[in-house]
Amino acid sequence: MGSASALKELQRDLETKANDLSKIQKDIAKNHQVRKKYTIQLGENELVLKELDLLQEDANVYKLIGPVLVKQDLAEANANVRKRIEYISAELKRLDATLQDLEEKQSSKKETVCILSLFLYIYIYIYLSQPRSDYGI
Amino acid sequence: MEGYKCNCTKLYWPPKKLPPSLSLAVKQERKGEAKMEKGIKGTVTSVSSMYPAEEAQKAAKRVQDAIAEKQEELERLRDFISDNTNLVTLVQRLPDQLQHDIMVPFGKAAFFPGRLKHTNEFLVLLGDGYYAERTSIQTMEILKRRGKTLQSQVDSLNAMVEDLKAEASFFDATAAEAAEGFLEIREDYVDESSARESESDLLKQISSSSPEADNKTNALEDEEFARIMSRMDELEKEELAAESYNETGEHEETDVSLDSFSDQISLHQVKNSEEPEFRKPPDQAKYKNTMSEEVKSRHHHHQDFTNRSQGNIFPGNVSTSSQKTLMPPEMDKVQAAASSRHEPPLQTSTSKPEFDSQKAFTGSIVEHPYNLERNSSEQTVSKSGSQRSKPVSRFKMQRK
Repeated sequence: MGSASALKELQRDLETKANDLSKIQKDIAKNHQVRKKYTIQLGENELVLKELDLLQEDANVYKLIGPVLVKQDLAEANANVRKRIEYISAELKRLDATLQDLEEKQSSKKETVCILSLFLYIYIYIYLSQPRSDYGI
Repeated sequence: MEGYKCNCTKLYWPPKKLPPSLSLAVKQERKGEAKMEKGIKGTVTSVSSMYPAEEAQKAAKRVQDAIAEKQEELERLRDFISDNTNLVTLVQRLPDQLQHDIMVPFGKAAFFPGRLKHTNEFLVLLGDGYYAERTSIQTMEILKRRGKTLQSQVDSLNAMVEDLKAEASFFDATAAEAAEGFLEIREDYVDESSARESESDLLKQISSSSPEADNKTNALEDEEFARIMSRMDELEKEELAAESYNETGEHEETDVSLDSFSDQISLHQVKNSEEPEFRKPPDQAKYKNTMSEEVKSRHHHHQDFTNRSQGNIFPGNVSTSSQKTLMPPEMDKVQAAASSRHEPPLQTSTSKPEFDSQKAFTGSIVEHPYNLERNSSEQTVSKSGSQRSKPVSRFKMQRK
């Protein structure tokens, strides 16, 4: 009976750990998606910056805000884009840090899950190899 | 961006199957090791045991999927490029006339006739909501720049696909080999000179004093070895001063060896009888080689006590043993250099010096390959481990 309860305990433990692991993996996936979005935006902004740099001083630049095109000063637009790039870079760095953190967590969780599943396996093996009278959970 | 995606797939593959596949990998490794232990000169492993056919196929499939993904992306980029070129031609043509009669789209399904005026004024979307007013020519410049970036993206994607294709073909080949039951025969390549390195290494370590080994060493003389030996001789001379001191130390050791290794005495008697010509060689260098080797082996193998009685004939004898205590760093240097030059990386990574030394304690004098048995390290690890500790302690003792 004791072994049966221990077995159940182990199983529950393993389940929670596995859930944690899958949660972390989901987080990592989300992180990757956000990262991807930001990298695309970064590339776009860099392109914009390049084009803005190539424009003449007197060129008309508009920014689409909602449904309207708002005329902007070229210098202002340039500054805005630069700021945006800075922001995105910072964000990417931050995402990198969290991703690393998550990955560390993931690997440690993976290890524990591995060990736990091994334990469970051994446990079940021992349990099953015991005489039949010991059954009954 | 692309590399990033790649990372992603690696990370998540396969999310839940990992533990079993992990354990599988471990099992395979074990299998490989077991075969290595048994092998005398190399290993024979069936490819399928290392890379099961279905695993290889799975890997190949994964790579194929990745290729398909990349191809899709490539296709999209090609569409962009063609769109871009079309747009360039359109923009080029528009200012040809002052106004164009066109059908203006109105809603989803309706058009009404209209007229395009100001044909040289374009509002170009630069990205991220920024628009700039440009002329036709300026717009074309922007579009061409975009085309260039697109082209570079296509190029990088093509390179990636090529890489993946190579990978896929490798996996396919592996899968096919595994399915056909190919065997992988791996025999560690040991260069002539590196063999000698390991030989001298062997002597430096506790290691076997097999007659074959010594004979071979003496028979094969090349530059490398001569250099090592000359260095030994130098050290020998330097250490002559410490002669008397070491002699006392040696007496102790031989006593110990007498009791504990008496079973191996006979082996070394055989050895001595086999190589009298090396004991009194005409040429001085050779003589020294033999000397230092034997003395060293005696010094490090307690069992080799018979050498001692004969060794006393030679004045250099005692000093060589003391010289030996200073030898390891020197030898290590040469050894390291030689191994980096001659040996495949496979072997340098393994704990090279120990292999031969372990041979000695298998007790099989007859079956002594003198340097190829790197793979059998597991056999005698414990034994040699205990043995290895002895010379170190002695080394310390002599230094005091």
